Amino acid sequence: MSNVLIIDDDKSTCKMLTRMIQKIGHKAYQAYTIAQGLEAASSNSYDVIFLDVQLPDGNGLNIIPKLKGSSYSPHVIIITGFGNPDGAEIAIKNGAWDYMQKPLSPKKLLPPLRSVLQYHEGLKNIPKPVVALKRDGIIGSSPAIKTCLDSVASAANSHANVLLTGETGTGKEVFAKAIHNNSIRANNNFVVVDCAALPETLVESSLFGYKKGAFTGANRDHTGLIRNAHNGTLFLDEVGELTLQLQKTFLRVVQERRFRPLGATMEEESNFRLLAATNRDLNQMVKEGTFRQDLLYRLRSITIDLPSLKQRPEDIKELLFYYMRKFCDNYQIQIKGFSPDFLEAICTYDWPGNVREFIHTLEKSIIDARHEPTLFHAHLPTHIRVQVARSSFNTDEYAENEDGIAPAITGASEITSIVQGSLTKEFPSYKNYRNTVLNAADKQYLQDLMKLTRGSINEACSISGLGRSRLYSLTKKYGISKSVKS
Amino acid sequence: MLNKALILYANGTGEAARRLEKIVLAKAEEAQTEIYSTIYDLCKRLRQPTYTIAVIVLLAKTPQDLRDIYSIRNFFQDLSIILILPDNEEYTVTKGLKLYPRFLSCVENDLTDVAIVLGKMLSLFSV
Repeated sequence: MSNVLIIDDDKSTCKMLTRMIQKIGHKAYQAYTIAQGLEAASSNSYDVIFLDVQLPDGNGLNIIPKLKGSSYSPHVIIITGFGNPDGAEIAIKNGAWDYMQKPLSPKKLLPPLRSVLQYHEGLKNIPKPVVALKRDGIIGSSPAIKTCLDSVASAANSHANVLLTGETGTGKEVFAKAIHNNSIRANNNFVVVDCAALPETLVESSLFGYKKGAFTGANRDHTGLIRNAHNGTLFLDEVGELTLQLQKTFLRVVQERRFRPLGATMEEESNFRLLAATNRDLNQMVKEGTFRQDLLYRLRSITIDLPSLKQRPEDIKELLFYYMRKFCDNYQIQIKGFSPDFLEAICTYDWPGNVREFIHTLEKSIIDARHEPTLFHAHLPTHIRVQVARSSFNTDEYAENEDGIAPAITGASEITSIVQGSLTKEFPSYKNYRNTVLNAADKQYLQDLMKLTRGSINEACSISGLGRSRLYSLTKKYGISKSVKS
Repeated sequence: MLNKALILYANGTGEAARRLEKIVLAKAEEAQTEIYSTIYDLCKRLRQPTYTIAVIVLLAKTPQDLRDIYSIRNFFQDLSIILILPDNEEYTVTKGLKLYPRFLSCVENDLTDVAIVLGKMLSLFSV
């Protein structure tokens, strides 16, 4: 018998789901807000969680990582009355089992529910071997990183090709090394191919090697990187930089693990395990015709998507302690403390360069504060302090335009009428008045934004600086559809 | 403004060291070049801030050079390395690969490949 938690503010949906779950022999529990749901999930073990998106205290999509990161690792099924493809994508990428649109019926719900319960039962019966994963410099304990480490463990136990994706500086090479070092190939070569750094003229000779006399300057036989990776791991970094011609050649190598060195008459074999990494959108490149779809399919037998540092802010402290110790040991100086304002700043900043930028910034701060025992906000680079200072104003309390000037509030007539209206009846509290004004301004901004971008979520996110799930929840809050007419 | 740094380690003299020095100095306009000829001096440098280092070019003329470089491999973590090996023997290549170089060459080559890759790596690096 499994335990199922339903997090939905619609009590009739909760009742219907509860009846259905009990009918097929399992236990059901209800929570009506995110806060209640998180509390329930942390204090009891649930096998499956039905999670609504629009909840009174926030967007359900945002808590999927937290729910999945709990020690019981429940499966999450999203249920929503406002389904759309973008929301479905966010849900699945965050680890949801399924994404379903209301109205729900037993016919619609039972098959995925039975399927996930069966899967969950199956997992319970497989004894999980306790393995100490070699983390090799992967720092963090957040649910996001734990999910990636689970993927590393699975990948290390297989021979499948792995594609590591993520923004620049998220540690794709570090994770690739962890996969290799935890695999049965750990004692063999880990060969790095930097596809961005190798010019086109050198890629073939580097990868495949060559025979003496194959070209001018080929004074002797040379073993290529693919052969060097025999029984080991071949790591293609920035695989998106390969030209189409090279992709075609390499596709055959990936398929058959055979290749011909330049100038050779015979083919050679190499039993390598392939890992690849990119910060580019290979699906988009396939659409644009700059990356081969057949090669992409082969590269991503397993995909591991590394989170940005912004997506795992709870790891920043751990990273700070680890690298503080490392740098102070390296420079043979006493470990420094840090002030609350320093910690607040590094936890607030976006870190567009992710962990790599974090490490470099910390190193520079330690150097700048060489003889001082404590790191302060002032030891951080100016651009970080500026962004942190600006972000403290980009809240509901104050909104600036690009020139740093408070804009004339659009919908001013709406504000006037609110004030005038309040003069004729009971004068509103400051808080209520402020909320009304700000909600009107938010709504106007979002309407204008969706008009400008013709409903393109990607463009709207890029212009506004909002994350996808935040934009999604705001447009739903104000009832703004993507197809806002001018 | 912070300049990117290009480091060359070449123990002693010899044709390969001279060729590499020429290649590295040709990049003087793109990066601040630093040349070290002993492992001790290289270690001392790597105990200072490394966030400006775009590339380290390591010349292992002999197997002993490679062993010396290998002994300080922890300093090269998170740094981009171009490694020139003393030969192409399997054992030598295997040892060299443990340093996770971005590009591998050999003293027996004319090293023009190193010059080309170095230029590309410098252009891709930003402080």
